[in-house]
Amino acid sequence: MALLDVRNLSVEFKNRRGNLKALDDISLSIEAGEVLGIVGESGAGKSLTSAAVIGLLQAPGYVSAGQILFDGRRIDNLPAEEMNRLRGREIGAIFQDPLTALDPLYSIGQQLVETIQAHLDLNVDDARVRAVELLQETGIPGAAERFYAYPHQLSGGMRQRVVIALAIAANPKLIIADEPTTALDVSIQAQIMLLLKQLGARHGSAVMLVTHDMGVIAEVADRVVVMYAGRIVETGPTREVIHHPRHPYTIGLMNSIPKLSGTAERLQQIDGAMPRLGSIPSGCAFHPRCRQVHERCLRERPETFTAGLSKVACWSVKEEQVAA
Amino acid sequence: MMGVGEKIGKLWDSDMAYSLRASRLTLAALAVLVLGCLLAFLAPWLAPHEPSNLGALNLSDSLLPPAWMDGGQASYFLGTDDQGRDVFSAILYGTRISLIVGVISVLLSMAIGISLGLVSGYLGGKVDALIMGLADVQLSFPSILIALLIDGVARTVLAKVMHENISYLVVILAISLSGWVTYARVVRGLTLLEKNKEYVQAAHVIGVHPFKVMLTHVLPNVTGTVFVLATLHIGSAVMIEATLSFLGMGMPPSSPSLGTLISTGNKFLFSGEWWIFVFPGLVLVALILAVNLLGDWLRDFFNPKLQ
Amino acid sequence: MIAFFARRLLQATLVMLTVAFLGFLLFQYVGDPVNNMLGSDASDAERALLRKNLGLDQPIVVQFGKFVGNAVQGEFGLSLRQGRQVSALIKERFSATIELSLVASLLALLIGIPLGVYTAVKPKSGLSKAFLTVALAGVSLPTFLIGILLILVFSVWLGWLPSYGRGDTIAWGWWSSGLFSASGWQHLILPAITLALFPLTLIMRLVRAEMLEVLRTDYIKFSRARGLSRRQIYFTHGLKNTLIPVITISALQLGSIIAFSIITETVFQWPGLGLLFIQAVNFSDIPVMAAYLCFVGLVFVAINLISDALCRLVDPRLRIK
Repeated sequence: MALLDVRNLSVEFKNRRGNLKALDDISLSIEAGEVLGIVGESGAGKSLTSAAVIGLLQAPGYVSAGQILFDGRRIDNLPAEEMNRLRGREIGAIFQDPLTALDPLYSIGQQLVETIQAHLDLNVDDARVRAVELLQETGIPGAAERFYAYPHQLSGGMRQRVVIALAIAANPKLIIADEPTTALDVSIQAQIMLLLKQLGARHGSAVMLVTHDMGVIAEVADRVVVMYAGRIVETGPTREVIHHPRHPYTIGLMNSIPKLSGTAERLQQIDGAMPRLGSIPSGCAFHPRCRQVHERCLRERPETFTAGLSKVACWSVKEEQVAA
Repeated sequence: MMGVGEKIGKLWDSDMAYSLRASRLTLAALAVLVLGCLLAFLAPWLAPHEPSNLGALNLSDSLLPPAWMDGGQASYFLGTDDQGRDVFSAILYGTRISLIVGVISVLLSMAIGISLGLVSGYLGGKVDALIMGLADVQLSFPSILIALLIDGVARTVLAKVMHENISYLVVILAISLSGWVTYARVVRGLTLLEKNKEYVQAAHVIGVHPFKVMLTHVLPNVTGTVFVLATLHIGSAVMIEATLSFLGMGMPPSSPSLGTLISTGNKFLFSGEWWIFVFPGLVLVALILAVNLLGDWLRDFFNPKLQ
Repeated sequence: MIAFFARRLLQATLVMLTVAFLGFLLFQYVGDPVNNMLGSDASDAERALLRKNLGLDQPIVVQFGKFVGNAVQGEFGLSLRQGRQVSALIKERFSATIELSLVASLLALLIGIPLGVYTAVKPKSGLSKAFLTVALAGVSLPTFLIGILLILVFSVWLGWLPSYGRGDTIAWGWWSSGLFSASGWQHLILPAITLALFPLTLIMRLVRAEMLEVLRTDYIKFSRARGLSRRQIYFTHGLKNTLIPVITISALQLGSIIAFSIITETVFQWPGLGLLFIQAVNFSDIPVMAAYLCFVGLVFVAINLISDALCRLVDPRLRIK
């Protein structure tokens, strides 16, 4: 049984001109201990997916269809109190900007202790000890002194480590990391990603990594989900998707990454731009930009087919299979 | 070319009009304001009597109750005060005075504030420090106090009769001088931001005076905020004027504003002649409430974070 | 820390000096300062002597210096209206205004802040909408109208509370307090509510606006993600982060309560400094006006210093300097 099972999830936004579908029939799953990467451009719906899973969708967004199952249990319709208990304890989350994720008025020690005490039955002294341990685990030098530091006294990389420490404080089974390194220096990015992977392995937690950076996915993720315009276009083991991309969008993505080997005159790009929420094309959302477009793509939204080790939502891929 | 009908249609469908239509309360507030302005503007034609013409007053008609009660007369629809003044006419003229004083004070305040803000932000240095220092000191004193002080000084310096004749000028001056700070701060903030932008330096190179350039760029950006501030300020200006008049420091009984009327009414409220207090009071509250509702809605509308 | 205090004290002194200068201008140049000091009954000899003592022929700086010297000792000459020492008048009425203002301030804070939090956390509840409507009324009703209406309802119609004066007071030295007698409290309630309503609604709206902002921040989102309890999210993290602007503006409001007491004291005939000031303005009693100006300036400076210190206590980022 998968740890996290998202089935046919749709998220909509009410606005004065009607309803906008931001996530359209998404299905994905994460096994215990694995790292799943969710990749896509800004606006593709990655962050929304992670927000929906942890129950922090901001109004006016709401889950309009589908189910989210965690450990076999439905969590998308839980009452607020129960969902709150789940958060932090079973599902932890790390967000993009470490500079603003920490309350500036409290020391990092205070914020750690309050998180620990919220989920684990420890008295203050034991909680403090555990807090310092966590800081050490996340690689913060001089953890015992840094305990008393305020967020503004730490660098960006350190703050993100504190954020990670806070997220794993109660040993959650799933850690959601939403663009955890985007706001950091490139040199720090690698360190943080490595840390995340190690912690996940050590504590046996699964990681849902949301990012627009394929490089990060390649380093860390076991499997990857490619999103486009609120839909999933391809899912598969990382190596497979990177070396044998099947969906035209994924192919375009991989091609646009500059490679050190080989020669090239120009950077390849995908013409056009991802459609905005209110103007998603009929049929396949990618068809206006697709080089392999068929007539069927304009009319019908593609179903998901297995191709090799991956699953792809593309009529063109299906055609190839049938032909082969 | 769009016809008038099309233009109105476009306006009706715009975000602003939609939001306005959606809030019935705000619409009601707007209606009240428009009605108030109309009545005030048309006062000389609508009012059955002339309350400030002392010669036309009939003392034997004093303290008459409203027309629908015993002892009331049809020609004095809302009753009369102790001088025989028709309350209805007095309210019409009083609203006029309250609104005129309020609006002019705000306009003057805006002018002073925006100019000082521009100068302060543009010139910087000592001038900036001085103006902002003054602003800080003034911010410590509530408008009422400043207004009272200015009024008090005017009283001492001018002879009584002259003071009465120009009392509305004194009140306007008092209110504007106490309200300019917010505008100045907002404009100064934006000026400082714009000052460092490249187009200002570019203009300098070309030979256009950077100040002119900033005017054409800073002012349009400020409009939204200033508009909201001004609307809310009108409410507060009307309130200050009413308070000053109530305390006897504002508009005199010879040309009474709503506040003066309420002050008179207060003397007779507890002896049973309630109409002199209640009707002007209702009108005053309706006006201020309407302006505040409108200002609130405007502020929410222009708030980028809520969009 | 000492450097901070030194700098703030310097700023405060500058502000006080500016205020004192305005008071000085009033005192010396509006009306006749000799009259201001001696009243209109003095003999010519006394006047000539005073003119020389005041050094009215000396440069302004010297005159200002003398004025400040006098002011610091509370010496503002004689009231033109009453012929008594201004300092004596102020002493008599000081406690009345301070007590009224303190009670009103407490009311405004103790009701305004919780209501502000509530309406931000539960924006759609019926109670919230009711509170916000009352808030709108509070901002739209002039203080004097509120006072008169309260008197109408509670004094005239219901007869529960008195409508003017201070009731029984106990005197300690020159301080007289009405807080220790039932009648004192009865007289205090209506004026205190009248005085508190405007600042209360402003504080409530401010807390609400700041709270709504704070609730949208990333650290609140993260505390939710960490699974903290509602109390921790809203109060430990939420409310505390609204404190800086709330403290600053509340301080301003509370300072202005002193000045708004002018209106309330007039409506309720409360024997305080506000009533004294209005009577002075009516009478062109310059010394009293100048003294009141300096008094209000002092109150504001003191309140600002306190609010600054409180802000530093709350926000560690301000302590770096």
